[in-house]
Amino acid sequence: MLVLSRKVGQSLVIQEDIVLKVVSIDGENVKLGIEAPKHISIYRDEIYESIKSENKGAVLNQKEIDLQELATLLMQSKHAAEDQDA
Amino acid sequence: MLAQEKRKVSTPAASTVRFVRDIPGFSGIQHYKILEPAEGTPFYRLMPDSEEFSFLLLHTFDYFGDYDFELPKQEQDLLQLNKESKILVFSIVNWGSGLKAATVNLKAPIVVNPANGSALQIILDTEMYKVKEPLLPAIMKSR
Repeated sequence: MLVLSRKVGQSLVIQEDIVLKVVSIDGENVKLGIEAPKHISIYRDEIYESIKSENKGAVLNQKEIDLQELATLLMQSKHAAEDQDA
Repeated sequence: MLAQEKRKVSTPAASTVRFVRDIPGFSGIQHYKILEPAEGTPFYRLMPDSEEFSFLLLHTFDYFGDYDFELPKQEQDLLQLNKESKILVFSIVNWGSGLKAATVNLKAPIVVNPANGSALQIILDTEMYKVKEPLLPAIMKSR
């Protein structure tokens, strides 16, 4: 990992078109300003990781899943819920 | 542009979409198809052209009527949307161990521009919507 020292107001440039600027420092909080081309997506690491892991967990590995079974399950649940309501 | 415009846009039985930004966790895969729900089920399917897996999708507004978010300019540009553009919004379903455990990812919807087939998954910068919203209550409520 490359480690660089920067003061408030100073920037660094990544790949010519991404600029990362230290906007302010308040105790443990560092505010960063980022300028990047619009195809570059920028996320807070922990949020990105949570979506990534959610996506991976949501994958169905079989090419064909039995949607009829899902339909039946839905109907059964619906009836069960109605019975509970009654 | 607000995604709460709930105009219905019909999709063909299998429409091809191109992700203009990789789905987090699935880098390098741009081309997918979206399959219409099978009779009696609410689930669309998102399948890559080249890979043997799929995601279950829900047409979000059909089940979460109050759902809304603002699509940032950057994403609008990536999808080449203009003021008149209609969009489709889907949420990924995590089936987990079965219907009762299934959840819907409202935090990171999939947005499609049906006019040009471009798509992306956006991560909403809000605490309002959860990554794991229970599926079953939403389905029951909508019936």
